[in-house]
Amino acid sequence: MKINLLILLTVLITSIKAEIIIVTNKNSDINSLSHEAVKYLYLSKVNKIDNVIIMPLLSEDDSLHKKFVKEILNKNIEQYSSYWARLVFTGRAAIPRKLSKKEIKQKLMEKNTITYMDKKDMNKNWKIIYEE
Amino acid sequence: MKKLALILIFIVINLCAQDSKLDLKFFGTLGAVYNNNSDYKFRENPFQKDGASNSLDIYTDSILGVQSTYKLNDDLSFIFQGIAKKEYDGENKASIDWGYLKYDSKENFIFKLGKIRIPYYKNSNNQNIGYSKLTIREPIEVYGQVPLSTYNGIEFIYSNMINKYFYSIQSIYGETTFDTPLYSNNGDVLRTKIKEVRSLNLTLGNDIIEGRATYLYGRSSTTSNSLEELFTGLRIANLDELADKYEMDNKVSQYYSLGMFIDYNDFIFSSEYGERQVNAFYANLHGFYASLGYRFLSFIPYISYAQVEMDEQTVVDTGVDGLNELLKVQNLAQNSTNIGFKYYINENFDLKFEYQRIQPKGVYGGFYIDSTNEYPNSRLDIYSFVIDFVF
Repeated sequence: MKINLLILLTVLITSIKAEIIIVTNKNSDINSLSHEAVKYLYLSKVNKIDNVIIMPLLSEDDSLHKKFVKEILNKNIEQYSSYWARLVFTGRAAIPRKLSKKEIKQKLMEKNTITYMDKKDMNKNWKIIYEE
Repeated sequence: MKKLALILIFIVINLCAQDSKLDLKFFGTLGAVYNNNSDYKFRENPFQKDGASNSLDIYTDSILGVQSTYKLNDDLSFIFQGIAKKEYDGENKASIDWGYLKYDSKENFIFKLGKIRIPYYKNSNNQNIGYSKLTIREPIEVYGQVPLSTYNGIEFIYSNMINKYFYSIQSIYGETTFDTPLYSNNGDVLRTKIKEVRSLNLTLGNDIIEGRATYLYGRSSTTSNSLEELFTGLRIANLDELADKYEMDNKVSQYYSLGMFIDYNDFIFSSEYGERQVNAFYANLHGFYASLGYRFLSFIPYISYAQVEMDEQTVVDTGVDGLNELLKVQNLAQNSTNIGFKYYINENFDLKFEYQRIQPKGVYGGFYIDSTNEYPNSRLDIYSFVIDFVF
């Protein structure tokens, strides 16, 4: 009985755990990105991949953002802040504004914009271009 | 004072502007440094008059800065950075550190035109932004080899991916002039002009390991009242060969550097090697540093070692006392060991503490440490504490 309860609890925890995906408009010119490409785009090392200029969007959902930074960018939030301070204050890049869910939906109507989100928030207007 | 007023006007205009094309950001460091050795003044750069000498000094590392970006359109923007710190004649001064027109069409290349920072080293472009760095100061044994930070000209940067790696090619062209006050020489000033400044920088890596190589070329001319007197005297005495060899008049100056940076499983390692070659009275030299840190969440302790040595003996008998003395003082050899930590408070603040032990080896002291006495080559113990911020 105890074992069954444990299995049920594990299944429940796994099912409610947010799974982060990278999505874009279904009409975008990109169909998939490598893990490295996602990292380099979000760290502003590159803006254009396979001749497509890609615009990454940031979410103002703090827990989602931290999870993305940790799991996809493989950095902790302190590293990420310090990294961006370097980019911003050397004039290399401007840190993108964090957007609300509504703003992200609006922006994703444009081709070749990408964002991270919980897989459960996926809808038919978008396509997944990266998931772990 | 005029520059300070200009910066204030600049800030007010930015603050008043409702236009989203304008972006204003602030950064700074508030610090205190204690040097236990009264025979030396410890300074952060060669432009500082005062420093810590058996005393606590709050100006050595302290700096306030503002950065403003005005977007002309999606691709073009003006970016300026102004700083205020204590330097030159011992007064707090505000100045435009750099400012340029930037073209970035998001096609993986960036073009800049204006007053631009020279990308010698990994952190040469963000030396004033304490929050973006692990240590309080970059190792002077490498970062101090070329005592200039900006030039007027153009810069081109191209970045892209090869398989799982990113790379960046950065190239510059321009010229610069700057004055270095010689406090120990009756207020004389070293006037330097470097023409045909050219540099090529290559970076290759992934998010774990990164390699960097830089080559810098320029034609340097440096003079001062005392140097003019010395070299004019040599020529009057028909010692043209000696004057030609040591006078820095349109001399080819080169600098090479290599760097390696690793960030793996919370271990942070960085090392850079630099070599300066100027065929004049300036001594050719080479130096390196290596630092290792470990990230315990927000707390990062680190340890580092750095050293710089002259390529050749600087005690030379040229037959002219004044020239012998000039060559002798070029020996800036030293080594230093640092132990410290950085603690991230939040996305806007960090604090750092560092203990640094410097052993000057040069006849007249080391890099940026100004002897107040008879240059005893005694050890300096430096204790530094700073709070960095960005907004």
